[in-house]
Amino acid sequence: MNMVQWYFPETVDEAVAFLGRERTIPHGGGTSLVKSGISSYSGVVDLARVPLNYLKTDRGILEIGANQTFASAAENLSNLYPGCILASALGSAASTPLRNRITVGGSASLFPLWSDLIGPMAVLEGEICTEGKNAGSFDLSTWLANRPVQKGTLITSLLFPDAFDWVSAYYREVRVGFDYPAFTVSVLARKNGSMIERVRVALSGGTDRVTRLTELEEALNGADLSKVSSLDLRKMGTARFGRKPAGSPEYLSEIAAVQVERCVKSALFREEETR
Amino acid sequence: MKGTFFINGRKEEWSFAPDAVLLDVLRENGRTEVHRGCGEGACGSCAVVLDGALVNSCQVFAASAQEKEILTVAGIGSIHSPHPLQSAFVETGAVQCGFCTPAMILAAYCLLKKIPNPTDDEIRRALDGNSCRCTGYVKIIEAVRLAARRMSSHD
Repeated sequence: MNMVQWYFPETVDEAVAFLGRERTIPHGGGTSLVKSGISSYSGVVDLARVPLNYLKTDRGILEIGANQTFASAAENLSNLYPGCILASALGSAASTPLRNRITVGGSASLFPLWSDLIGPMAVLEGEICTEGKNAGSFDLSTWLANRPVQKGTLITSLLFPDAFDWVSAYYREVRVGFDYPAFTVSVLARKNGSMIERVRVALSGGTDRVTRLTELEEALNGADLSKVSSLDLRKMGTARFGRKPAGSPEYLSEIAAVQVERCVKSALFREEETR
Repeated sequence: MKGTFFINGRKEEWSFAPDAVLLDVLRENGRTEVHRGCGEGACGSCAVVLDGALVNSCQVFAASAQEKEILTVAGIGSIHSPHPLQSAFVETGAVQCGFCTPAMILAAYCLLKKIPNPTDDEIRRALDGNSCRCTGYVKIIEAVRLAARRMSSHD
């Protein structure tokens, strides 16, 4: 019988040392490991005592410690920056008791569909900061493409170099609030009068886990708002989907394109300046 | 493995398997007011308050809950001295089969600790992880409103 050993480090260095052991996995407190089971591991590193439960900003750079729960991060961000896309996304993920457990670090480890983190990460161009065997910072696409980089490595924080002063829109396709979203749409926009300075749009849940809609972004960046009505936003917002309980690939592709159009228009034509 | 838990203010030393979830350990040790529902974190029947935060005990490893304060519905009131929320649930008819009630009351308890006079929207949001298959939620929301009014007037 395999007896899993639990470790309870109190510092990042201790946690990294434990993670260097064979078949040992970190546990931030969320649900992924509960669902997948731990019997195939020889050790679990409980990160709850490691001092990574913080959220701070410095000269416009936002850093969220890996141990912040979705509930704490959403509440802190809502208080500091009302309307921030991360607050909207993390605050609407799953349900209250689950948001009280899911951590941003744990979510960044696997980016499960139910995390609601991946879309905002893509548009905010966030970085995943790590210590241990592969210490450093990783952009999202590098991180997703290189899963082995996580072996022996501890996620310490998520860094958002340009997190604020955007108008944002976030949409999650669910039947009821606590459903896993079939897809999410994340939009950031900056305007100067009627000029669109910058737009970023990401769609998650398609055959690619997350896609930046670059054709759409390029068509809008630098354009005047009056030009938006002449653009086929739905066509540029179309992505491929697999079959899901929420619908067929064709259905999901169609409604995702509609929601991309709505979110982009919502961000561009909203009167009040939120973050 | 063995661990220390603080359940409703009492220190307990319990043995459990390394992969045991808190729900199982609580029930195996007589805390059957914590109900087993879906086992997947979807229904909320197993909710307890862990260090002040509502959690689904079926989604928490018991090992992670060691040395922490755990509150079950039995810790906030009794049949002889019910919490205002427990009274309000009975009076408004918010209890039918009663399976979801302990967790529903704890979800409302956490809400009222944080927001003493919540709006209906805030009540719905706080109860978003708790399913009830009997009442249709109307009476439950009414019960939380009633308890909030009574608790505020006693402050």
